[in-house]
Amino acid sequence: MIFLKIALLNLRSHPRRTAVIITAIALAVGIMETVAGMVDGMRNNFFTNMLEESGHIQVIAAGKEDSLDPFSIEHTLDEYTDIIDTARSLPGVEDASPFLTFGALLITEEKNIFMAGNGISSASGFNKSLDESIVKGSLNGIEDGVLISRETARLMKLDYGDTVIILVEDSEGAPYYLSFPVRGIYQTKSSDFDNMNLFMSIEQAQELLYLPGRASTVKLKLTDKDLAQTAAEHLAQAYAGMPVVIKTWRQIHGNFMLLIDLFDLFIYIMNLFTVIVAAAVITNSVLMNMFDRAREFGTMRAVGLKKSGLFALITTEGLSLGFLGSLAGLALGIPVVLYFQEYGLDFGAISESFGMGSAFYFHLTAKYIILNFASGILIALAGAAYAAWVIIRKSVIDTLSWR
Amino acid sequence: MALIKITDLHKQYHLGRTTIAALKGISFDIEAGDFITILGPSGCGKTTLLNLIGSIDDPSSGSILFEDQNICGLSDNRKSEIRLTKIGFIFQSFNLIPVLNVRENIEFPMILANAPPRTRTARIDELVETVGLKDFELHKPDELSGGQRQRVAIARALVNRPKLVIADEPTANLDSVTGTMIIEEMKALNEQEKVTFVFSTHNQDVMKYAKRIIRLKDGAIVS
Amino acid sequence: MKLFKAGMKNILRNRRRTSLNVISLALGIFMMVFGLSWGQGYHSYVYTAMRNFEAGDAQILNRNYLKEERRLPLDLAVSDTRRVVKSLTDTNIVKTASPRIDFSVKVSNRMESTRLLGRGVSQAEGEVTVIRNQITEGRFFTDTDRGVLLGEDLARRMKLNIGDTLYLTAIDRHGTENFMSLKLTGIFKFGFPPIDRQVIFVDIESARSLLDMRASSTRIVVRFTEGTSITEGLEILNEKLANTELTAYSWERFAQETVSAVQSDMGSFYVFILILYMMIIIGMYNSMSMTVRERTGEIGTMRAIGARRSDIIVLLLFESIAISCIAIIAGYLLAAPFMYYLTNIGIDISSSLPDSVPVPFGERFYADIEPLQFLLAFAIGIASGITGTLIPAVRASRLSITDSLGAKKHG
Repeated sequence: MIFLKIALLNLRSHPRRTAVIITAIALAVGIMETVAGMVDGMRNNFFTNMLEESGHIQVIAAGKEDSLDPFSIEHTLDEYTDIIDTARSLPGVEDASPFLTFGALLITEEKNIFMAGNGISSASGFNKSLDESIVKGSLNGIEDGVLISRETARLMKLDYGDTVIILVEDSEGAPYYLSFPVRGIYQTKSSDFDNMNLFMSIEQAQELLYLPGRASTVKLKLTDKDLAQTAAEHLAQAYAGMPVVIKTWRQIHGNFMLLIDLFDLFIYIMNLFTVIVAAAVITNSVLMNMFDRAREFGTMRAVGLKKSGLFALITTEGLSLGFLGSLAGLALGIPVVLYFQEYGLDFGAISESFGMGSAFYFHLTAKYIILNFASGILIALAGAAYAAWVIIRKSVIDTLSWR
Repeated sequence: MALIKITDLHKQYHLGRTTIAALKGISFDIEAGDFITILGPSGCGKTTLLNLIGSIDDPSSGSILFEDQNICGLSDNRKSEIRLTKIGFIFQSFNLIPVLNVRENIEFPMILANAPPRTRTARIDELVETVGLKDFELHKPDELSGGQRQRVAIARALVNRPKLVIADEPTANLDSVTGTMIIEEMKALNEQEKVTFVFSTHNQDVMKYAKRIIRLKDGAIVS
Repeated sequence: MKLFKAGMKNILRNRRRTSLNVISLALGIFMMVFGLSWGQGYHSYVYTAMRNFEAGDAQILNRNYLKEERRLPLDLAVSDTRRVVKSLTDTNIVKTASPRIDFSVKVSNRMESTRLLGRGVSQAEGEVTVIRNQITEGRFFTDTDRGVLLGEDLARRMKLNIGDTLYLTAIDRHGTENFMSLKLTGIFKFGFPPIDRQVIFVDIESARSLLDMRASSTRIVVRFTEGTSITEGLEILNEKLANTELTAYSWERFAQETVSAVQSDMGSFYVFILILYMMIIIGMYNSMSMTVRERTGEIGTMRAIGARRSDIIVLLLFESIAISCIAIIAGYLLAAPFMYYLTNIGIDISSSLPDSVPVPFGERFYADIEPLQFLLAFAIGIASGITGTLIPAVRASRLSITDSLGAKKHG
């Protein structure tokens, strides 16, 4: 207790020196917290938004992925309702829904635009974010019309209730078109997504493409992403020998997982630099602080303080500095993370390419707060331990007559 | 039986390639209750001798028996314990802990010795009274005069009831009147508490208080 | 020089402190050289690739085109292209101008089909981009050639060889679907998936006929003459185009992803390095303050024997400059192997990135070292040493001589 008291009193009696060390720790912890918020934002975006869209498992018609045309409807799932029923009976499966994607030319009187058509089921659990992004009309509009983005509506001079023609190449290879009323206008955070996608019910899509009872993909949403492997294995067993390909989220987003790893590595290197520079500055400051008080320590040793006691005294001071500095660092870093969590950081057009929408949202987690807080304390503690080690190796007489 | 028995004590320092002999075969005894002055010019080895007796330095050869136990070559922890319980130190420049007040400075060695709080309070009250700092007990060292600071140092040296108090030039940083007062106080404590004092000085005026005077010159006892 | 020597000697007096300062500043220097040459790599390779692959120096488009770019509007065109190109090349700032028609096209080999970005180009495209050098089989168009160029992977995937026929379907300017068959005359490889996998080059005359574009195009890509800056060139062009339906845009407008990737990367680097240097300066400030405290007596003595205030400041500044110099050399030495690796061997970034990332990192990305980066790191290293020392040095020079002479080392 007396050590803590001496430590705290010393910090107070040298305010400038204390401020210098605390600033160095705070800057380091502040950087680490911000960087952690950024990385976690990326991860969070991946695990919530991207997986929300792709699902944890996809059952795809064999051959579809090898098609030259990503919108090819040559390969589709026969009797997908059976797959859905099987999937729903597996443990941990929250939702299983059919999707029928196709290339479509959206035509108005004057203009035309090539888009990705999505036939979706109105009961699907995957519709939540689309439903939330609707600015005009409603999701039910897919039953007898189409949903287009606000950007597409602007570009094609369309509004709710207007009629559009959708031209496709049907399953027979012949051009076929139907006209649809615009029953909903949506706007998500990603302009790339908005530019590309239009939605209608899977039944309407089947009719348009002349593919009754067929879907291109069945997506599964699980209660826990870690159950994906087991569920995928069950499905593979159930559909062995059938023309289907089963993919888990790891396989679907292989490239992106690689990118996250690369980004992680980059962040680790950056943090390592921060820690080394901060540790050098802090060690230097703590050392100077200690040398300045060497005679005081010599006196304590002369009146009977053991080496271990002196070590504890010096590291207690380091601990106090680390504690205060880390607190200050979190006070710097957390508001930055919170701000960008709320308003997003606009990295410009590039973030779209990484599937992060038009702005990049940070994410604050308790895990990183605790980790960074501990790191700050550890840096200060390491600096103080080194200083203590230097001092206790000196004899009492050397410490007393330190110059 | 002597409290301390010093036999053929040598101490050499190495400065680069030169070896300086600070003490050259010192032998003498210190009896319990002694009030010994070590006298001599600057550089004669006074401080070295006191450091060796106080076990904060090791001799090059020779032995120091403290209550029949050779304290040379003991482990650092063992020596710390001896300093804590049996020896008190008074330094030329007081060496108080700047951030602690008078009471806390005096209390510090008792905390290290794990004395219970009630015992500590009683002992500090007693010592503050003895050294006449009752009105200043909550002051920090930098709010005290030189004489007052040295009194705090004396109280701190006595707090664990040591057998021996070592004082290296305790009056050097004080004016002569205050210096004399400090020596008188030490003398009074020597008589009241039966504590043995060994102190160095090059001030001839304080000699008259000494029971014994050991004169050093060039690292050897001259009388 | 003498003061510098004195500085060097003084820093050796406290080696531990010097070492810790050197470590932190050397890491700062390392980061600086590393970051700057990495950033220069973006400019030298990525930006250049972007301009050489497709963007050119500037592009001239119908002023409403970009608002509707997503639908590749053939109705918002540069009409009478030949006249516009001529008037551009008549100025002394335009070296080459090449017309293009971008359109959505369905390409088939009669077995399979896929939708690609069709790009109608003339022989002049070979002057504004490096496409001529990227042809791995067959050849680039001359003005009389009719045919298409396809990316290597795509051609292999569609089992097409030079001379084979491709079938193109596209919707023309009037909304009518047209069909055309053309021979494959060349195969290219840029090492940049957005072009290699998504673009098919068609000779401009065939494209015009397929899309009923007559003499028009959707854009004109421009290369300026040497010595003409982009800003200057754009200003002159836009002045010239003031009363037309056309506007000239900088290449950056067509490489937004790349530019924003580079900017966000460099932006984070600068913020990071700023904070790193703040820590370094704080460290320097602290240890120089300590030096001043420890040597108060010495400084007092120097003042007493006639040193001026400025001499004290200069002495301490030289001390920190000496530390900075050691750190800079250490930083350079630390950076050397990394820089050698990055500039000569390069790293494979593209394989870690999704294909959709439109930044041409090439097969390997190289950093680009320039002497200026070392000079800049040197200057910043010295400047941070000086910044950290300034306050303690001034404080030391203001100490009263009597006080500092009387100061005890331990009070």
